[in-house]
Amino acid sequence: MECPAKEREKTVVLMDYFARKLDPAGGAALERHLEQCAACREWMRRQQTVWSALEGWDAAIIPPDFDRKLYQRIEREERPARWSWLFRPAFSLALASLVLLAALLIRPLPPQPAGPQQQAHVESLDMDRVEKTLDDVEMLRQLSLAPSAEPQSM
Amino acid sequence: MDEWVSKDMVAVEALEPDARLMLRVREGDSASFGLLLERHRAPVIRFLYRMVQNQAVAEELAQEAFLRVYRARARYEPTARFTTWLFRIAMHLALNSLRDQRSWKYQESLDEEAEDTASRQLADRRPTIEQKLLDRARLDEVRRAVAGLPDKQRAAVLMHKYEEMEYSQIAQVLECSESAVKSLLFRAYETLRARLAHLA
Repeated sequence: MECPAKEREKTVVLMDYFARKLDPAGGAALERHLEQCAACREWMRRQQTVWSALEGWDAAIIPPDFDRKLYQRIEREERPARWSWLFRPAFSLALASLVLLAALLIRPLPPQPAGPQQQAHVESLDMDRVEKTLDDVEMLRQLSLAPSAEPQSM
Repeated sequence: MDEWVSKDMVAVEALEPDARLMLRVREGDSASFGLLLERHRAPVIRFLYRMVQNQAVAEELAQEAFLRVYRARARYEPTARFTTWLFRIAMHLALNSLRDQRSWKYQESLDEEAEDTASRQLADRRPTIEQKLLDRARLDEVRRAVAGLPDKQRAAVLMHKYEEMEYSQIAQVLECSESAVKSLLFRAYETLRARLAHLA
């Protein structure tokens, strides 16, 4: 057997011996080599120190509430936000339309001489438009609140 | 059609148990996610703890790792071992965390926690006070030696020593070649042998 301690690539054999990954034949061959090779024995002795030191390093405590916290986070992510319907496209569109219409209706008209009958007629027309707009918005809102056909994904 | 179903079933049966569980999670079986969590919770927390050397941070990162697995369930394909995928997620989280925390605050927390963990880890062995002090000093040396390794070397050593992963699996987690892993391990153990020689 060639000396594993002499070449960097071959020290893998020594590492594998420590990690108990060598097959029985390879392990036996290395043990025979170790009996004759002082360099490899020294390598092994120093590696044993590292190995033992690492083995003495106990790991962290596993928190008893780890799963509960994780499932809470998952649940939080899966639950739709209370006001998420506000950000649905249909509702946003309806809201934007409403704001635009309201701005158009509220805009002051240029002063025009008109008789009382004509003014009353204009007011009744505006009210009709407002009612129709509100109906449209309500319909859009119901559409946006209807359950989506798409599956929910994270 | 039956032939396809049968072939698919054979393919699924041939997978490792964790991958089969993850495929069930993909189909919406949350109980299988619970089983995966049960199996891998402890190794992931321990790996992260040894990487970042802070209990609270390790717990938080482990939560994030499992959350990412759950989030990605719909896209899961069993192209590699489940643990390879899981540890790759955990390792990336650890590396990002280490990058973020490399400041005096991190070193301070390391020092503070050394007392807590040392006393906790040795509590059940009922040693004498002298032995406790010696063990604590020894443990501190080991922790500092490991913490002093470059991130990838540290991850390679932890997966090799504690998770007993094959070189090929470590290579997949670290996204490098097997020979690069052997080189990382060679250099890491060489450094550790030098730093810990006085503990012999």
